[in-house]
Amino acid sequence: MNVFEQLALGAQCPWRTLRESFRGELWRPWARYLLGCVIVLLAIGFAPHPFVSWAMAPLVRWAAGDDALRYPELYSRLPGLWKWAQLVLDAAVAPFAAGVAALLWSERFRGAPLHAREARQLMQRHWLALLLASLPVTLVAVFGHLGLEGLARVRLSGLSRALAPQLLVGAVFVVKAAYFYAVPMVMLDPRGSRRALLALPRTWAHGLLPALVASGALALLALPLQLLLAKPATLVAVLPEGVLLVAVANAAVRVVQLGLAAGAGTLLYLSALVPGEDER
Amino acid sequence: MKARLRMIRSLRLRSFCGTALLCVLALGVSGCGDRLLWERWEVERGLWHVRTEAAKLPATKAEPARVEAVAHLAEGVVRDFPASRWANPPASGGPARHVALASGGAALLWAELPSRAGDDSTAAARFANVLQDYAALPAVTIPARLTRAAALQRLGRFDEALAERVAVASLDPMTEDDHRGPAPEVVESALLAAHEYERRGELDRAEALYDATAARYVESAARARGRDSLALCDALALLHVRSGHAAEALAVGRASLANAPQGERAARVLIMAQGALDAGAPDSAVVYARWAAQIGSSRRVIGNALFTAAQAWERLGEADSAIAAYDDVLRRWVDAGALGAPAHFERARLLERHGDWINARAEYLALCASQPTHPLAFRAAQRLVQHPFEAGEAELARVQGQQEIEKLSYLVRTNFDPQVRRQAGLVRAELLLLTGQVAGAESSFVALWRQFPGDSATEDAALRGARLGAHLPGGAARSREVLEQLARRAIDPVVRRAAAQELGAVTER
Repeated sequence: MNVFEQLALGAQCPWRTLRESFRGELWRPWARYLLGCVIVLLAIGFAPHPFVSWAMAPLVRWAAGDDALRYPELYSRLPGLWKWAQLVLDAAVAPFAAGVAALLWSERFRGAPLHAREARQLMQRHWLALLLASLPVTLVAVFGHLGLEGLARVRLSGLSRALAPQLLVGAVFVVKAAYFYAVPMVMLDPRGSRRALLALPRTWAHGLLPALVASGALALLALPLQLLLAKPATLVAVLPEGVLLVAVANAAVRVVQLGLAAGAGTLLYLSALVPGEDER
Repeated sequence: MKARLRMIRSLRLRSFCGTALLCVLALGVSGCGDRLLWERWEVERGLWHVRTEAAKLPATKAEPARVEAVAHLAEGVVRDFPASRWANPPASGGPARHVALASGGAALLWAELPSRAGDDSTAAARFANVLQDYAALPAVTIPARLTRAAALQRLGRFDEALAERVAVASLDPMTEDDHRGPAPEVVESALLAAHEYERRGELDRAEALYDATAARYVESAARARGRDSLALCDALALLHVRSGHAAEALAVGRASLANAPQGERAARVLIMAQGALDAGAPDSAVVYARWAAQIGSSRRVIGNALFTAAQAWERLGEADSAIAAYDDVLRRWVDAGALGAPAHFERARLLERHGDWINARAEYLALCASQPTHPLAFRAAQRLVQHPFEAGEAELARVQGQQEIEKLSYLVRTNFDPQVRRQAGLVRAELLLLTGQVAGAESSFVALWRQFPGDSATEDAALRGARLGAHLPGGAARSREVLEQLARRAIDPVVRRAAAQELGAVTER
């Protein structure tokens, strides 16, 4: 595949996935993830309530200090707290949902009937490989966030201070793109999940550019709400609870983004990266 | 088939039992949370909404119905979190104290709101209630007393207003433990109250107030450490400066200098120089200003030090040294910043006083041209007209005056800044009077007051307008009306008294 074909493939994958995405069965694996996100967001957003404060108050206090439990300060700090909670959910829940989704998408793209129960059983067999496939993205996201927070405490020139956050965000984006189709590979590779993981770097020659394009296109979906959450003070000044609503909406959009990413990754893998007979 | 159905039923039963167990667990732990956290959350949310609604109301002349609606919201917060439960006595810290403070915040708003609709008497009465209910919370009582004092002042109950300020001044400056460090309102109230005593001619009471407040600050400073101690020393030095005790002020300044961080030393020495100048010790001011200019590194510190030195030289009668210091301010930097206009004006004033009108006029004109909306540019314009009059060149003064009046009229018509319009209007009225246009001056003075009410400068202008009007043909009735209004609702007690006296004289005539 030449560069133009790779670019075209990267643009086609999310588009084709979007066209196939209007089927409820394809989204069922993400229901638990979304439910988890909403429960965690509500728990953070109402952390002082006696119903959850026994568990949430010490956590919030530990993460952001006692003032974070006050109104409307909690909503100012909610995006920061949610960022870390989301990392935990992404590391612990999302890989399994993505594994099931990858199988369902592959059946959909092949025109076969969808078998959710079988997909779940297959996912349970590959749980360790799924966790390993998501680990680099989780690690780079954790270190990226820590790096962004650490920048404030480091002496830097004006230009470096202005460019460092963009560079960090860029690095996280590239690593995420590099592992864009890692989960479909683990679930669908005929050589088995461990060998598939080891073979992943060899696929980047043909797969990285389409993955970058597809990831970029899908990242645009969540961008408006993420920009809103990046400056919560504006929302807090008008309606503090609005931050919670925007965060819930952002979680829902992110589920759509993850679901489409699973589909696009599967399609990319099936279209160009499935090993040929000679490689088996 | 039957076995399969049984298995499905047993699975359903197990999931049902699991869900029920989870529900029971959740309900069981739901009472384990800290209820205070939620109460703090509730009261702070209520206060936030009240504040948001109050912020939408104009500061004056708000619709009474809207004001009442917001006051009702605030009252709801106070009713749900009453002072009797949370503030008598308040907890020393933690969420319970925050609840008391938020409840007090809502009570303050409830009391303040009637003033926005012009009902200061209700506001004063409500503040009296708040003071009673939240007596143990200085974070509430200090703003309550000060806002009540302002309301009483507007009502013309000057003695009660002064009593409220004296009450705040008599507090221990470290009494406010909800904000770190000493309460700045305590020293400000002492200074304001003492100034009011001095205006009334009660110098003994002013002196006693200064002494008592200073004694409390000395006690507090002895107990405080670090930044608090420095802040208390600054306040104490300010008190000594205002009471004219330069030696004491400098002694306090020197004591705080020993404990100040290295980076603050130049700024502190500069404050000592300014304090010495204000307290009537210009020779010390010169020494400290030179020191500050020597050790300072920023334009702000060095420029202000040179400016202070120039003022001190002027007080000592050394005009040449003063002019040289002002020159230094203007020549050391390409742009002298905020000090440029004062340095030009002061230099021009000194030159004028020493008979060098040619150079003084050039400085005044340069200032008017370079910064036409600066307050000192208006004073420069006034001097440009006044000097020829004083020199006996009436025709030249009238021509110059007419030019300046036209420039100021244009500024009043076209500038968007109300402060600029107000100052330009005041100088314009002065120039009208100076050039013999008495009727124009009278109407300008009164119009300014109508445009900017509640301002002691425009109230004073209105009083002058009324005095002028009394001698104009057909102006007596208008003058009487203005005097009546001033005697009834001027916020400046001196203007109010003067207007009442003038009114009496007019009535007798």
